[in-house]
Amino acid sequence: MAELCVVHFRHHPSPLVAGFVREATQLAAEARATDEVVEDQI
Amino acid sequence: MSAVGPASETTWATSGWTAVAAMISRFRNGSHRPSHRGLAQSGSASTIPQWHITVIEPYHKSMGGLSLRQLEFFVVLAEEVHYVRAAKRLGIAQPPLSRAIRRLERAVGVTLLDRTSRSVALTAAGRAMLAPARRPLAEAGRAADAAVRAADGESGELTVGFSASASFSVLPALIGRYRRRHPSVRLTLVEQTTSAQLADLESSLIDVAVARGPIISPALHGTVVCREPFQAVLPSDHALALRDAVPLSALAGERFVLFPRHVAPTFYDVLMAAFRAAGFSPTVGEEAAEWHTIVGLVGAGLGVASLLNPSSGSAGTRWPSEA
Repeated sequence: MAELCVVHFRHHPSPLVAGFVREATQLAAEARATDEVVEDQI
Repeated sequence: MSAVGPASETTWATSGWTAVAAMISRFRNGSHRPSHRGLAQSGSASTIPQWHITVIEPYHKSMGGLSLRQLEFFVVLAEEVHYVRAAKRLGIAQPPLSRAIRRLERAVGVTLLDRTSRSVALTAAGRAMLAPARRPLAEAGRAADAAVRAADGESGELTVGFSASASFSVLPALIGRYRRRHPSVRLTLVEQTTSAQLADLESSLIDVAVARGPIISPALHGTVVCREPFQAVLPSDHALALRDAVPLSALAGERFVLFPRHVAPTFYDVLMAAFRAAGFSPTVGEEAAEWHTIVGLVGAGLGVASLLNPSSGSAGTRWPSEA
C-alpha cells in the first residue's frame, strides 16, 4: 500500500496550514466512514 | 520676571487625543535659535535665557487631528440625537461625552450640534461631517476583521504542492472542499515530485504538500490521508492483461518502467520492499518521472509498471462531495 500524506512543518503551522490539514483529515475520516458503510452493505 | 514663555499650546493635550510631545527650545532676545533640551529656567533677562514651548504635531494629524474615538462619539450622538442614550450606547457617562464633543468642536473649529435643554440636533456642518466620519470607523472595523480572519486561517494565500498521482485520488475533493469552506483564501497549486515538495517546504516556497509517504524528516510532519494499493500496468497485448488481478510475483520476469528513486525516495523504497516481499528484484528497463510518461512507455511495449491507479480513483475510495 502507498500512503498519501498532507505534509507541513512540524512546529507551529500557520492558521492557514492548520486549516488545510484539518480539512484533509476530516475528509479522509469521512471517506473511511463511507467506505466502511458501503463494505457493510456489501 | 517670568522665565517661561506662553504654554497655551500644551493645554490641548486632552483625553481622547494621542499624547503630544513637546520640545522646549531656547528663546532669547526675542528670536528663536537652535537649542538644547532642558527644563524652564528663571532669572535676569540679561543673563538667563527664557524658554519657549514648541508643540510637535500629533501623529494622527493626517486624520484632521481627530481620533477614531472622537468620531465614534460624534456618530453615535448624531444617530441617537440624545446625550443620555448616546452615552449609554457608548458605555460611558454623559459628562465625558459632552466634554468630548466640545473638544471635537474646538478641534474642528465649527459647531456641529445645536443643543437645547431637551434635544440635540445636527447643524449643517454636523450633517456634512456625518458621512465622512463614518468611513474611517467602518475601515477600522474592516481592518480588525481582516486581522482576525487572517489569524483564524480564514483569509490569506496558501501555496499547496501536490504529487501528480494525488490528482486521481483525494486532491480534487480536498481542494473543492477547502475552497467552499475557505472562500477568502487564495490557493495556488503546484504539481511537483514528492522530493521537490519536501525541499520546497523546507525552503518555505510552498506552505503545505500533498505528497507520497512515508515522510521521514525531523522538520516535517506528515498526516496520512489515504492508503492506496499498487496496480499492475500492462500492455493490452500482454498475456496477463485480461485478468482482473495478478500476484506481483507473476511479474518477476518482466522488464519494468519505473520512476527514478530521487523523485520520491521513501515511496520508491516502499515499492521495492513490495517486490522483495514477492520474491524478486525488478529488472528496470526504462525510467520516467511522470506517471503519464510511464503509462505511455508501457503502452509502447517497453515494459510493465506498478503504479497507483491513475484512471479510476483511489482503490474505489468514495471521496465525499458536498452539495
